[in-house]
This record gives sequence, structure tokens and C-alpha cells, in this order.
Amino acid sequence: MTERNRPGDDATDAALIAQWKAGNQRAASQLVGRHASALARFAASSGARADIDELVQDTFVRAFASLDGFRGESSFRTWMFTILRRLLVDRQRSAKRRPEGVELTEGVATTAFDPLDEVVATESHGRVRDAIARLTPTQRDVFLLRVTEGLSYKDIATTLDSTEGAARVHYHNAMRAIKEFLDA
Amino acid sequence: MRDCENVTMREQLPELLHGQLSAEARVAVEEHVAGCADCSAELEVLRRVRAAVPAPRVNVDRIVASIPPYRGAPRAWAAVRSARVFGLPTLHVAAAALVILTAVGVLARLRAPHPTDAPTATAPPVARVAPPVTSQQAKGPVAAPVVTQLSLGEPLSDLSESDLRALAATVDDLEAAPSADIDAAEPSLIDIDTEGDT
Repeated sequence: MTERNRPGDDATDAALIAQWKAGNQRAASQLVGRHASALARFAASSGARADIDELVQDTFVRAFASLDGFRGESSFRTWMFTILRRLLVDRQRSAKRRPEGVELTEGVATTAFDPLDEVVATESHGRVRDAIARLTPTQRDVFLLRVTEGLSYKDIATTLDSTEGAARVHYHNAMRAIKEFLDA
Repeated sequence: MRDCENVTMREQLPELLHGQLSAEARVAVEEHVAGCADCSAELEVLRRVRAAVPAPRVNVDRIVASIPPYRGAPRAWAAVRSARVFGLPTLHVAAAALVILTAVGVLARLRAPHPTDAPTATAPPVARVAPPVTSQQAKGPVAAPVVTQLSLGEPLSDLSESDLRALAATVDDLEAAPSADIDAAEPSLIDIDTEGDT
């Protein structure tokens, strides 16, 4: 995935990281501003609710504390998603809401997904969210990383500690399920 | 809604949605979508999903304030910890090598023969080095110590007195051969060079 820059912000993520290491704290602000929303969206879609702010903050703190370990094998945003995903799994494991490694079978809907409680949604949006809510957790993560964040299958596999092939299958199964729900 | 059979085009719809395609690829996918009802419908689904899942608000300033300043390059130990060998963490590789070497050492020690297991009944015939004879040194050129395997010949004790004397005389007649004082030596300890060392 290519690095994303805001309009008027031509610095790449790598350049901002270098500037932050050189003592420019504003570079950190730019990186947070560039990626915080996407991380919050992924956290919300993965079932996090009231602690989204804290989750995103923890993700950034961990990421900046270990930036020397970031080797640039994936994009900075994908790396951030990976850290957030691990935080989510740790929290979900401790809460015993969704034990890691136990993947729900296809067609089993999750009832925990309702990331948009505070949003007054249109009827169309509500129907789409209902369709998403019926996906399995893995299908949902793959589908939303692809559709809302634009991640490649490779980046999704990195984030979810899976394979490109598995990500592709989950994506198409999710797409088929959503089409069927919306057509019904 | 059906799935378009043109997988190549269909797979690029999310990239089209996010503006991640090259100019050339974008034109090609847009032209395909314009003529494909299935891809057009799927692209519309993607747009609806993206719109239906907005990002919650986050307090960027608070996040930035929580990020500590950079503390500098990692120390040597941290560098070792983060280094990799063949794509694996160095420490993991070192630990695995240590375990393997230890296992090999233990196996080698277990398989080595114990001193008490050494064979004792198959010792080869004893070869003795004849001690230098004093008269031999006095008589002339020193011959190398003569080795005789007594077990291969007849024991001297089986020879008669006359045979022994004849043998001693023969030896004395040999050049550079030590004289043998047959009377002064114990027959069982006399070593004879049957090959002759001239």
C-alpha cells in the first residue's frame, strides 16, 4: 500500500519518522493525524466501543516506542494496524469475549458488532451495517480493511497474521454474503 | 447481484474506490465498469459500505501528548535482540544452536566406549624388544634392537644343549652380530634375530 499524505502534506511516513527521531515532535503530530482515524475505524469495526480513544492512543504509544524495530517491510499504516490488532486480541482475550484462534464458522453472525452507536445513520447505512454485522469476525476484519482502508491482500494478511489466499477467500465470501443480504 | 467473471477487473474495484490505481489501470477498470452491470453494482456496494462505516472521533492532541520524545538509537543489546539471521531473530537462532550442540555432546558422550568395556581377551602376541647386551656394545657396530616374536618359532627350551651351542656359534660367526654368552643368559629371555642383521 502506498503511503498516504494529506493535501499539502508531501512528507512521506518514512520522512516524518526520521524527522521525529531528529527531535521534531510536530512530525509525530502529522503521523497521528494521518492515521488515527483509520485506526479508530478499524478498532470500532472490530468490536471496540467506549475505549476506542484509549486503544488508538496505546497503539501510537507502542508504535513510537518501538519505531527502531520498524523495518519498513510493510507500510507504516499496515504496521500500525498490526499493533492495533494485537492490542485488540489481547483485550478480547482478557475479556473472554472472543478467544484468539477460535474462528467462527462461516455464516455464524457476531452480535458484538455495532461500531456506530453514536452515529445517526440513514436507513441505507443501517442496512449495510446489518449486513456487516452478520459476517464472521474474520470476514468482517478482512472485508473492512479492504473496503474502508484500501489495504491489499498482502497487507491484510500481515495485519491479521494470515495469508493472502485466506484473505482473498474471506473477502469474496464476505462480499457474497453482503450482496445476498442487500438483495433480499 | 452476480459476480463478474472478469476477476482481474473485479479485484481492482477496491483500489479504484480508493484512487490507488495508476492512470492507465484506472482508465481500463473504469471502462470495464461502465460496460459491466455486475461490477457497477459491486462498486456501488463498496461505496455504500465505505460510507456506512465512518471513523469515530479521536482526540489527536491527547494522543500526541502521550507520545514520548525519541530516546535515541537502540543500545547494543537491543540491536542484538532486533537483529535477524535467515529471517529469524538472532537470539532464537543462538538458542537453537546451543541446544543442538548440547544434544550432540551428550549423545557423543553416551555412545563413547566406557574404560571398563575395553576388550582384554584379544591382545595380540607380545613383541618384546631385546635388551641391549653389554658384550654387544663392546664388540663393534651396534645393531638395532632385535625384535623376535617367540611365539612364532620353537621355544629355546626345546633345543638340546648341543643345538644351542651350535646356534650360538653360528651367531658369533656373523659379522656385526653380537656374541651370545649362552651360559650367562636365561634361555627364555634370549632373543634371536633369525633374519640376520648384517
